[in-house]
Amino acid sequence: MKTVLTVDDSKVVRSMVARHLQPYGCRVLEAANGEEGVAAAREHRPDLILLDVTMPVMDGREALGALRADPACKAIPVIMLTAESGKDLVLEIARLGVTGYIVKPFQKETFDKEVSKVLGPPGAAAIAAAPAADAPVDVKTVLVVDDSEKVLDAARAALEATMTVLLAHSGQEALEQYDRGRPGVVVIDLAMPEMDGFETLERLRGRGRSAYVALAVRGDDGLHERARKAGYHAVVAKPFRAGNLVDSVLAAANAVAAPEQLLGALFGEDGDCPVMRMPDPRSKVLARVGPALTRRLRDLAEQGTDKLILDLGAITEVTTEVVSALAHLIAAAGGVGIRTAICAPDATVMEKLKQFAETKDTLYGPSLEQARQRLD
Amino acid sequence: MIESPTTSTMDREALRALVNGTLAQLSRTGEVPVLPSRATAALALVRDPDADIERLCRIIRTDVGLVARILRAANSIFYGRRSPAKTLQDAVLTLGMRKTCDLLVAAAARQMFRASGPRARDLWNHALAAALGAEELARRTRSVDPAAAFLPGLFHDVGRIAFLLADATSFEVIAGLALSEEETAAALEREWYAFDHAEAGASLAGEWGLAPESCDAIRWHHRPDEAPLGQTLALLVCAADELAYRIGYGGGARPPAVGLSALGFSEEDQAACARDLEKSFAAHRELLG
Repeated sequence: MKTVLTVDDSKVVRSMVARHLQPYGCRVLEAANGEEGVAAAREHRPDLILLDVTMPVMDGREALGALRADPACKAIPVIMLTAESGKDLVLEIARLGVTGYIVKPFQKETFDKEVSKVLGPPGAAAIAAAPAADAPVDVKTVLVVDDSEKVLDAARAALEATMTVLLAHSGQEALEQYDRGRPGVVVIDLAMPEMDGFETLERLRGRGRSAYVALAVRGDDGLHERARKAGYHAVVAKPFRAGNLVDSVLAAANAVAAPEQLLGALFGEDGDCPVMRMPDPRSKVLARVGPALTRRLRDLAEQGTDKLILDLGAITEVTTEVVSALAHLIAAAGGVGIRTAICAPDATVMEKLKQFAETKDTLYGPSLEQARQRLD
Repeated sequence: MIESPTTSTMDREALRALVNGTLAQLSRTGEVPVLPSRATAALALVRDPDADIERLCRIIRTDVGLVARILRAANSIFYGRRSPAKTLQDAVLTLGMRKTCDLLVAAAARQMFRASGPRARDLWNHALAAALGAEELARRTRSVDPAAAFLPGLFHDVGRIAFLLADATSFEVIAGLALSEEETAAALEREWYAFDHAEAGASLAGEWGLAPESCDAIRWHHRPDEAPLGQTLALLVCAADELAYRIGYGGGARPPAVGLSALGFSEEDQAACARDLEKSFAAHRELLG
């Protein structure tokens, strides 16, 4: 573990430095003036010193001079902290031979830009200890991160019928839960105290290829846009309807699942007859599994299968997308010698499909059994 | 911290440049919080002696939600009429131009506080409680026109929401230290930003068009006796700040050290004040969310 020494007469500044160093996973030592700082540096030989310019007892310039004159400390990288950003001061600091400088008050980006020059990127230590980033994720598991118990309850109630749900109350807890559950989808509240949704996303992304869904206050378009730019797959406005959250999470899960995984979930059997469940075209699943689906149909044909039931149980509305997806499937199956029948439990769906040129000559049955009988 | 410039003696312009520069530098977007345009239009009307009802109604009509809210306010038990107001003009006449403007500004300001999480919600509750508290105290003390007390009360801690919006991490660190250290949040803020939330709030409120005396009351609400001008309004806002804590809607770790007692209120008066404030707070929270 690396050691960083922060030297500042302000407790607030030392606390800010310590807070911003958290993602680096290092030990933080504090000193309230130059004299204490030099003494601490001699004793602990830190990997980095963050040194305030203006301090009582011994100021930053004098402290730096003392450090540079000490053979044991002269190589320690020093970043100066200053309350002014004037050009003269910057030149003076540059002449002092330091690694960099940070103007106070600073925020995360400014701090990270300078400090990562010495310590490496934030979160690197944590990633080294975590499972490899390319280890597989479980697309049937979702992690929900929100500081509100009420939101967590609502999300769990909405999602637990379709996914395994893990919960975390803060960004920090999310990191731990993530490593434990390897969720395929992580739903993150953007506005959490301490580590907000942007920082949480940044730190989770190094750990695995999951899809991320943001929870954001309704109406703040700027924030929604920023979330998408930061890498969120989707943004769900709060308060959310259960259906909206489920749709976004499932779409996000589809986006990260490997085509074979998606396809596996679509195929089943009725007796000895393979059945393919037609996904809702809005989920874009078919577009993603395209080549894998062709391979699967060819494999089925090679294994001696000559029939396939297309189960339309999940389809409630016939759109041109549904029709063209079906036409494509029927043609692809026909191309390898597999005959198809459509199982449409919804009578209006069946009636509607029969009106389209592409699907009017297909075999239909209202149940799997009847569809199979039509094929026999 | 010895390098902080002393902001107490800074003039308004110098303070504004410092506050705007720092907040813009801290925020991810490089922007300083702005009040929605409807609120600034209403604030301009408050300061315009020739303002008329029609102009005010025109501003309100740009937002259907606002029309409904103003009608609901006029017809609420709190501002109760004998027969319900059916038109926007009726509603504005019932409430009065000034009160309508106050509600309009509050409704627009509410948007800013929706930004992020429980901290923002607490700050909003505190702002609304202090605004209504300041009005209540002005009525009781007759030291200030009650109509002039609402807005400085509403915006007295707007600097804190600006800090939160600019950089939530700094806000949390300071809030944490204020709980555990002896120093006040304002002193901790000065160490970090070089100015405190009262100074930031006064500067932003000035930019949004609040009257100079209201801005001064915001700037000095933690140390009313140091205010160069308008100590009465500053003291009133300070007392309203404390009153908000008494009804459970404090804005920080501790209530201000001076406040209600400096207004000469007995313990009984303070309790009566708190009871009245609880009622008006509940009514307005329902109205404004």
